[in-house]
Amino acid sequence: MTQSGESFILPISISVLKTQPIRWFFLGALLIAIFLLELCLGSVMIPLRDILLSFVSPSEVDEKWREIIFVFRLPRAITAAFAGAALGTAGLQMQTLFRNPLASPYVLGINSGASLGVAVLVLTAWNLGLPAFFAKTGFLGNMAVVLASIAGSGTAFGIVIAFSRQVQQSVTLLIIGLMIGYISNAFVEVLIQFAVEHSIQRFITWTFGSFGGVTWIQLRVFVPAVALGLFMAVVMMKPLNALLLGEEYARSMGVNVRRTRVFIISGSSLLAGTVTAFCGPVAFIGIAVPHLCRLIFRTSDHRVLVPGVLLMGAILALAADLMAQVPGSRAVLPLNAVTSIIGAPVVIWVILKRRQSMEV
Amino acid sequence: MSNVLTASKLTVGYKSGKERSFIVAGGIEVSLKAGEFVCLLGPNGAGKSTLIKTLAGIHKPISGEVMLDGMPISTFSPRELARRLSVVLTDRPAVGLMPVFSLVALGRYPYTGWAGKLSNKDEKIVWEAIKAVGIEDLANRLVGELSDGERQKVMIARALAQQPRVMILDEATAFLDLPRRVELFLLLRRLARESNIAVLLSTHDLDLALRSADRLWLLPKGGSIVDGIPEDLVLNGAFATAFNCSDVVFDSRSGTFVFESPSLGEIAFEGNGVFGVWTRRALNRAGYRIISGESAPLKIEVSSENGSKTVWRIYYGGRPCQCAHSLEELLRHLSSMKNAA
Repeated sequence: MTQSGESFILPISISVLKTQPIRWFFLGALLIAIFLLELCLGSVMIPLRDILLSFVSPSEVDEKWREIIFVFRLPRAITAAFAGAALGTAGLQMQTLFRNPLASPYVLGINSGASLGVAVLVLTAWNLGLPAFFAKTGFLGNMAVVLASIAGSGTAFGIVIAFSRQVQQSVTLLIIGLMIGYISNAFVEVLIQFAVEHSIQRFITWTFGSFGGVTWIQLRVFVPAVALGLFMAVVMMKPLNALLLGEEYARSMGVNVRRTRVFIISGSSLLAGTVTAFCGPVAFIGIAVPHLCRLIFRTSDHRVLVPGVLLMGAILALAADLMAQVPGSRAVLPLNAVTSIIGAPVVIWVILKRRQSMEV
Repeated sequence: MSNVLTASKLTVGYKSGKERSFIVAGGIEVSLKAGEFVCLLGPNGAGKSTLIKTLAGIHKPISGEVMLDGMPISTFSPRELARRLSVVLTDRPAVGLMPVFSLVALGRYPYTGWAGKLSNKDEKIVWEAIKAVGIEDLANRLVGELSDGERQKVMIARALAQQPRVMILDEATAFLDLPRRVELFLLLRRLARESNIAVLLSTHDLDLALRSADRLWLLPKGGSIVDGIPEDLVLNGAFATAFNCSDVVFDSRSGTFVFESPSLGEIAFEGNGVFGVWTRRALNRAGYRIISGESAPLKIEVSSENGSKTVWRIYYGGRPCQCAHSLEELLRHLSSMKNAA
């Protein structure tokens, strides 16, 4: 290696080691700040001092506030953070696998399957004379919705995986996923047509998405499932980088494309399916977050982007949830309305800012 | 030199459905040697791409076997194969936000661990590949900012970083302008020699292939493959048979293709030097067949009287008819004489 070679290595190692940590530190600090803010704000404002105190010496904090923090806000904040990380990571994997900047965690029909599952439960429970608690909010009804959603997204996932062994190119799966979506939505529409009004209301509310209502017990399933999906994404960082060049190049560099495809689809379906089961079909975070991260870190390298979308997804989901709760008022906006209102301009801004960011 | 890649009794094609298969080319017996730059030529539709992808292990052969380092190519794991064989394709991958260095470093994929972290040795090999291709000054640029020619060089450096025994390029020069293509051909020949790898390029650039390849493989449509050094293939007519069609004829004197225009008649012309060459080109293009001697009634002489301008004189039946001071004027005179007659 000659001198000129050495002088080229230097700027690269500097750019990786010296500039990035500032951004990581900034994102980490932002996540902590917004997480604490989520605990402070809501229909009742709780000062930061009491939030921190309730962790250290709970006896000094008002019991009502303690209940708000530990029963409602903390599980909600944890849910939002994990859901955002999950959707961002799943979206990134889908965008790279399909080399399509508009791919979202739901392109494979995971959420359509889930919504059909939930629609079958919620919209027919009353007609079939099933116990009323199925159709109501509350722990049992909630658990039933989660299971229905998992059954629906699991079915969609099974169909996609069955096809993924046969198709040559991943793009074919994109079309199959889209068609699963159309078929599911058709059934949902038929169900709505014959459903009673209050169950339609219940179903529509589910489609709005929400990070609230996930209990500590549910978190024991939710958090490990998301953690497993995130771990699978970390394992896939290297093949994802190779897939940036397309499947033929990836294969020529030693990627087992079919096996990798199944693994990536399984991981991101686990992430998207889990979030949809517990929070409903939360829109736009999965599309916007990867673009935002490419812009911030100015790279397509998944060894940077995977941890990046994890942090950024958590931040954006918490921010959206904060806005949806309209701090200081009793009003609550649909979560999906807020994520789209933040998400869509982010995508437009990114596209206008950098053409290359649209290249996945 | 030993054979690195050998195809014996190879039939290539593609399968549609479970049963039916379309055979594109058969009876293929070829081999690649280390340090050799080979160009695969053939008209569109002859199956160059199918053959290339079969040799690269991307497609399965219909029958026959491709041997790499003496082992059937189908027995290699993807990783083992990637350590011996790398490819460069036609399409330009859209990776906007990746620095050139990182893209070349992807060539180390079959050597690195689960996270793709480069060891010092890996990093050294990546730099050597970057230097071998001559893109040191691009190393920190983003791939999305490069021109097509630069981008293909980066893809070649990446293929080189795989430290292959064989590098296979599928029309990798297709979208480049002539100077860039010349550059890439020379680069590939140099890489083959310096790194002692076998390089196979499928291309439509007959002229460049004739001038730079160590061997040519000609794949005519529906025929069987012909293998030899360029000059032999021109002299024994294999080149002409592979490419000739009604309007284009391979001229083995010039090593180029000439268009057969409908003939407007014969013209006697004997001229030397640069004026002679371009006068012939102009007359050929306009559709006249040039003969030597006095056997044609129409004759042209070109002369530059000392120091003054060049003049083309047209004789008809031995008598001087007209003068022209440019080739354009000459062609105009000829066409008006033709119309008058």
